[in-house]
Amino acid sequence: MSDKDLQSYFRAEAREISDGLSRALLALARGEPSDGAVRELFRLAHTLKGAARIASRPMIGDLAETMEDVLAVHREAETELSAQEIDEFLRLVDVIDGELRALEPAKEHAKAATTGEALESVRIDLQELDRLTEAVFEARVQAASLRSSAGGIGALVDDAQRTIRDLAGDAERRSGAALRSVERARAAVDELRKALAVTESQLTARADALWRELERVRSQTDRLRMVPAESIFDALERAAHEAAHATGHAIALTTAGGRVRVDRHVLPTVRDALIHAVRNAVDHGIEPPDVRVAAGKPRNGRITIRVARTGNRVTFSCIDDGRGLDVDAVRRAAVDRGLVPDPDGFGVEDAARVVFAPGFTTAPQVTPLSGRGVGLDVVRAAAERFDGEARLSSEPGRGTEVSLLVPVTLASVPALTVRHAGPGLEHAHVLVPLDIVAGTVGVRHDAIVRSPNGDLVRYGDEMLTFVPLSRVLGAVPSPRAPEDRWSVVILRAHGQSVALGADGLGAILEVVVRALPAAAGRPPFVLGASLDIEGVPRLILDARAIVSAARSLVGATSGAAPAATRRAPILVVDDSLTTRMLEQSILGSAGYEVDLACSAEEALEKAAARRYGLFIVDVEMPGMNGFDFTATTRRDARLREVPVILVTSLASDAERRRGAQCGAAAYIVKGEFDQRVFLRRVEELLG
Amino acid sequence: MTTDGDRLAALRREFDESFARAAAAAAGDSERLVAVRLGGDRFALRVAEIASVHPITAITRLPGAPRGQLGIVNVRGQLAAVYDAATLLGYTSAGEPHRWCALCAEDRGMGLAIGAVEGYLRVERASLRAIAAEDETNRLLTHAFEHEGRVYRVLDVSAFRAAVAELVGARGPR
Repeated sequence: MSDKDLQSYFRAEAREISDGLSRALLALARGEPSDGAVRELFRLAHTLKGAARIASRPMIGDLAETMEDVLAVHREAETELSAQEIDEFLRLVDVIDGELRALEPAKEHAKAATTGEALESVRIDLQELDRLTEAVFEARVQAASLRSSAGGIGALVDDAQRTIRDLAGDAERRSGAALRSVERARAAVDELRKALAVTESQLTARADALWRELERVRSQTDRLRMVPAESIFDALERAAHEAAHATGHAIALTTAGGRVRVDRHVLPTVRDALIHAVRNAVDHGIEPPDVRVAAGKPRNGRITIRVARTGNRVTFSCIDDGRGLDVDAVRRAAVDRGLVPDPDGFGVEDAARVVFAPGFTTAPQVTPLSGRGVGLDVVRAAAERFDGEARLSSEPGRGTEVSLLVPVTLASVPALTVRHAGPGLEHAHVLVPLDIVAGTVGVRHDAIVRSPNGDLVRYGDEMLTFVPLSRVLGAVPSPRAPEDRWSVVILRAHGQSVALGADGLGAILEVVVRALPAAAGRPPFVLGASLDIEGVPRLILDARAIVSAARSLVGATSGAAPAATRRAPILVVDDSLTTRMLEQSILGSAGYEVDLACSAEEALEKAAARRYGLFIVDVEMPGMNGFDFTATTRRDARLREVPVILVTSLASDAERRRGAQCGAAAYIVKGEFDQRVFLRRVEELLG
Repeated sequence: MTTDGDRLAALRREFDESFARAAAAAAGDSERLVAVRLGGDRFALRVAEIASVHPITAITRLPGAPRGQLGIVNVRGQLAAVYDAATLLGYTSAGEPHRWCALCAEDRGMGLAIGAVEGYLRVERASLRAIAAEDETNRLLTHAFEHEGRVYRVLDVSAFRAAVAELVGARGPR
């Protein structure tokens, strides 16, 4: 690489880092939450220092090192930057920006516009891209609605056909003028039917064509979000060669898997992490040429960057053929830092784990490149940021492999649709990423084996832990008869398998994984969501987390002893036998224990004798009515915490208000009774 | 019969007209609000604190949802977590349908579900009276005002955001 290229790369990287430093410092100055800010600033300053030294820009390197030194103290002591330090750092960033501006060649922009490259590609603002995605999505929903409207015209055609048949029957009973009148009407309706049929056909065809075009646009828009992994190879190569130059080591870097496409949001972080991994490999892994030759190795150290995609994850590996991890040195450093209480039996696997600890280093002194041991810390932080994994494997004398596994967050991934038919959920189709699915099998309910460690199902020669989907979703399990069949999905991850029991399986779809908004929190076992054809969010399960947590999900699972039965019982109060039986049947099927009372007075007696979790009460009853029962229990210190659902035929606003005033937690009108809504209320109130 | 679509169109018109009037009005003297009904009572949201109002079509529930969280919805291709404003205010919901979602201006990934949108109001800022914060629920209500003989309480959307952050934050990492 020419020096001109080197300087150009350096300017681009340094500008990006300087922007990052500014953003982080300004956020701190604004008083925004500072979790991890010191570590992030340290990483940026460290990266800038290394890059500046390589590009022979000592002033910028020194400024970055000044920041790094101060930040190293805060990182070690786990303290925050003072306001004065933030101001001083912002001043230093200004100085760095000034230096960078001075490095800009004159008329760079004007020149760029005349090059062929500039004419063939444009930079796209990610927010603009998001807005485009949004607009395309909205257009797809409208197109789907158009298709549905066309279907409505089809129903009119059927109506017209029926009318023609009716008129034909009518005509047989008529004669003369009446017959002619019916014949005219029949001809008119037939004309109308034909016109509607043509309209329906044309509308359907055009809506289908529009849909197909929008699908292409969507697919292309999604692809715009993805960039080939090879776009970071230049930066890695640059880092490797400059590190080799600085250390006097000779290296040859090869790359593989560059065509794998990765989300634009993910790649910059991966690039920064790999730059550190590469520098570490050159600085600590690759031996000096004479040592290599003496050991029978090629003079040039080999470093391979390999990218591979498996399902919705991409693995970036940095593989060197150097000396391997110095387990003794790692052990000594780990003991010094108090990371390993007992050094006996400390092996290569322990070493591979410890080296990812923040700030861990075996280097006796700080080197301009990577001597603070920052490299692997950065890899781990990148993995954590995307809920991925960082791994290291090493063989003494043969080399080291550092891997970073990150999800391809916005890539289309194949996913299996899995259905939960239990009550209480409106949208119970969820998606399981296909890369975790090892197989599917139908299992009779009575073939599930009970064991002290939970339920098991046989899959091939294995007995696998059985986890019902309802348990994962925190939903009410559906009732099961012995001959009922489960659709079991075998999930395989981390070398373990789990059998996920669902009520049905659906299509395999290519879905776009969308992260849940921050305000949704972090619901267990949910990786994200995808929008279905009608725009309804479908949850994508975190199947790896399900496998990891299988032990905590087993237990009262498969329907014989559903979770809900462990809750406090429900008391149904109604003077109507039919209503009592209906409610008991619904609640019993959903796994709740139910007691019955045919009057408010009897209910109060029962409530005095037993602790209930919920009262479901009719309003109009002989004797004490439901409103008075509710008010009475709200005044009773022992009963006021037990919520009341009023289930009544009284539907006026005034009566609803009275219910709320009495302290009812919910008011359900019998005329609008919906079993799913009812069970959801029950579930919410029982907690 | 007024449909959701008509209602939404009218609201949008009122919003647009309010923006058109903005230049003429002394902006500093008045507050623009959306009047809503929660649990049968009247409340108002500051227009400045909400990004948009949408009819709710489908809500997808999330496992382990905290109290008040209804689930996630799709708003023009973006996901938003929706919370029942009435529940967060301490109402024991009486099965009121969640027909509208008001997205927070500061975080479009969060919305408040409301039963009914009454309309758009412009009131003199001086007519807003501060409500003393007595308990947790009242922290969500900052001011009250009277308009055409009706009393409205103003929902503090930022306080709702903070309450939601506390709710989801309290459940810890996955």
